[in-house]
Amino acid sequence: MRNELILQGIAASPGIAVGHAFLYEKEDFWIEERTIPAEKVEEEVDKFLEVIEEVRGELREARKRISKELGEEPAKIFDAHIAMVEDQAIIDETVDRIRREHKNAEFAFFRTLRKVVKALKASQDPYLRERMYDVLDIQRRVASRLMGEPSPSLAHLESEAIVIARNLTVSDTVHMHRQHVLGLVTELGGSTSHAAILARALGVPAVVGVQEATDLVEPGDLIVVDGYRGVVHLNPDQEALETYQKRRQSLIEQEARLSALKDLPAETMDGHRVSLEANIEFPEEVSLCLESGAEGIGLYRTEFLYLVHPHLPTEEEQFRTYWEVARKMAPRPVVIRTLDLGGDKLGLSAPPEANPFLGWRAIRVSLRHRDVFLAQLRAILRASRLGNVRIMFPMVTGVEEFLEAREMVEKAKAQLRQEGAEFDPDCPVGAMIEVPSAALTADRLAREADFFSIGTNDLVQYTIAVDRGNDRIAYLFDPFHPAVLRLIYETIEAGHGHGISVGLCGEMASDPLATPVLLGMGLDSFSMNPKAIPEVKEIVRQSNLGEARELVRKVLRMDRGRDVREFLSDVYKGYWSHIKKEVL
Amino acid sequence: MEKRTAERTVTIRNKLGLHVRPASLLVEKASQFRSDVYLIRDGEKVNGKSIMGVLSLAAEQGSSITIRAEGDDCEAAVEALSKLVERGFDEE
Repeated sequence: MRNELILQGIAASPGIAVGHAFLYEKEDFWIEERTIPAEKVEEEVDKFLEVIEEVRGELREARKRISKELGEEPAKIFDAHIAMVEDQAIIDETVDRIRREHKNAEFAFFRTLRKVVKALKASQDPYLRERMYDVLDIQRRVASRLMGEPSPSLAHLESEAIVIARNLTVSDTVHMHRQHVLGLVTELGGSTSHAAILARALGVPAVVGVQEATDLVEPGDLIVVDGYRGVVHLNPDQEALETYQKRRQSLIEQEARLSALKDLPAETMDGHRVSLEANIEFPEEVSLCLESGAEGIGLYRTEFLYLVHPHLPTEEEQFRTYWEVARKMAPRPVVIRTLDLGGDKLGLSAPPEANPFLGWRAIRVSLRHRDVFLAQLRAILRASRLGNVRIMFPMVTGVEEFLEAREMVEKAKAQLRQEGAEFDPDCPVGAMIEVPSAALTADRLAREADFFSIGTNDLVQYTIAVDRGNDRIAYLFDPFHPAVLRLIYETIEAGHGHGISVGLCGEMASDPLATPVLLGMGLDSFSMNPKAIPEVKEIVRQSNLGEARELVRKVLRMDRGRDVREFLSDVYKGYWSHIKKEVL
Repeated sequence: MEKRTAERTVTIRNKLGLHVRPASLLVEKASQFRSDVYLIRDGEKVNGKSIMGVLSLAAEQGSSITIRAEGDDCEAAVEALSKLVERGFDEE
C-alpha cells in the first residue's frame, strides 16, 4: 500500500473526483541529425508536408470541437498555434533545408525553428516569451510524429482516470475527452492557465499549482481531487475515501433536492425579499446561472477577455461578448465589472512591484490607460441597450477616484451619442467596496454611486492585512472578524441611507453561516457561484428577518471572529443543519 | 535584370506591439503581393510572410521597423503594409 499524502494546490475547477492516476509525462527528447540519401530526399519532403497537414487538421478539428462544446472564447486558445502551423515561410524553409542539406525532416524543422525560439526566449515581453512554448509545443508534436513515436497525447487515456501533468499545453488538450478525464492536477499554472480554463469549461474538477505532483504520484495511485478546496489526496485510507465519497454523494443529492427550489423566490418567512445572483466569467456560464435560478449576474468578471487574446481585446470583441450575456440574461440585471488586473498582465510596461496587491491594478490601471478603459466602457454601454446592464468599478479607494472613472463613462456616452449608437442613457454606475478606505467613506461614496457591491475577499485581505495565500498567516483570514463585519454593516447602512442598493459578491455570499447575518444587516443582493444559489435560497426561505436582525445585534457586540463563528454554527445547527451537514 | 525594391520605416503604434493578431494581419496582407517582403529591425531581417518570423522580431509598441519589398509590385506592398502598421492594425 502506497503512502497516504495530502497535497495543497490552487482550486481551479469545482467538484470532487475519485479515480486512479494517469501520469501524463513528456520525456525530454532528442532530435537526431541524419543525412538522407539523395534519392530519398523527396520522400522526406512529402513525409514532412503530410505531417504538417495532419497536425494542422487536428488543431482545426480541436478548435471546432471546443468552440461547439464550450463556446468561442475558450476555443481561441488554439488560434496562435494554428497560425504558426500554417506558417508557409517556415514550411518552405524547412523543405528547402531538407533538399539542400539532405537532412532528416525533424532536424531541418528544428533548425528552422531554432532562431524563432531563441528570439522569443530573449524577448522582454512576457506574452511573447509565452509564445516560445507554443513554438516548442508544435516542434515536439511535429517531430515525434515524424520519428514515428507516439506523440504524448491524452488520446491514450482510454479509461476514466485522474490526469496528473506538469503542465498542459494547447496541443495536449486536443484529444482530451470529457468522458475519460475524471479530474485534473497540474504542477504549473494558476486559475487563468489554459488547463484551468478548459477544466472549468468542461466541468472537470481540477487543482493546479501542485508542486512536484508528477514526482509524488505513481501511475495507478488512487487519488481524490477536491476542486473546491484545492486539495489532492493521494492513496487515502478507507475512512478518508468514504468521507470523500459520502461528501460527493451528499453534494449530488443536495443538488437534486435544491434544484426543486429553482423557481421559488428568495423570500424570508416574514416576507422580506432579497435577490440571489451569480458571479460569472464566461458567457457560456449563463445557462448554468439560469438553471440555478439566478435572478441576475451580480458580478461579471471581464479579465478573461484580456488574458485569452493575444492582443488587447477590441471594443467590438468585447461588445459581442458582453452583449451575449446581456441578451441572454435580459431582463435580469447584469453587473459588468471593469478590468481588475495588474498592469503587467496586460503587457503594459510596468516595473516589477514589491507589493502587487497594493500596487498598480484594477481601476488604477484603467485610469492611467484611458484608451483601454474607454474601449471597455463603450463596449459595455453598447451592450446596455436592453436596459439591464450596470457598470461597476473595482478597487475604488474613495470619492475622487470614483468620480474620475464616472467621468469616463460620460465621455464614452458622449462619443456614442455622437455616433448615433444605441445604449442605455441611465446605465447605473456602481462601486465595488473592497478597500477599507472605501468602506469607511461609504456614506460619501453613496452620494455619487448608483449602487454598491461589497467584495469580501479583498476587503478581508486589506482590512486584516493578511494574504491568505501565505500558509503561515492564512488562519488570520476571517470574514467574521469584527472589523470586517463592522465595515460590511456600515457600508450597507450608508448605502441605504442614500437610497441605493447594496450587494455582496465575495465568497461570503455563499457561506451558509453568513447568510442570516447578511440578511439581518439588510443586504439587498447576494452574488455567488451559481451552484451555491439553491442552498442559500433554502436558508433564506427558512429564515425570519426579525430574528436575523436580532442576531446581527448580538454578533456586532462580539470580540472575536471565533466567537461569531461558534455562535453562528450553533444557530445553523439549530435551524438548518438538514441543508448541509458538512458546514460545521 | 535587377529586382525592383521599395522600403519604408514605420513605427509600431498598437499597444501590444507585433503580437499574434497584428502579426497574422501583417502576414496575410504581405502574402497578397508577389514581391518578397522583409521586416528589418536593428539589423535583424525576417520574412514578412512568416508569422513566426514576424513574431520573432519581438517588436513592441514604439519600436521602428523597416518594411522592404522586392519584386514588381514592391511599391504597392510597402504602401499597403505601412498603412496597416500606422493604423495600429485597427485595434482600439
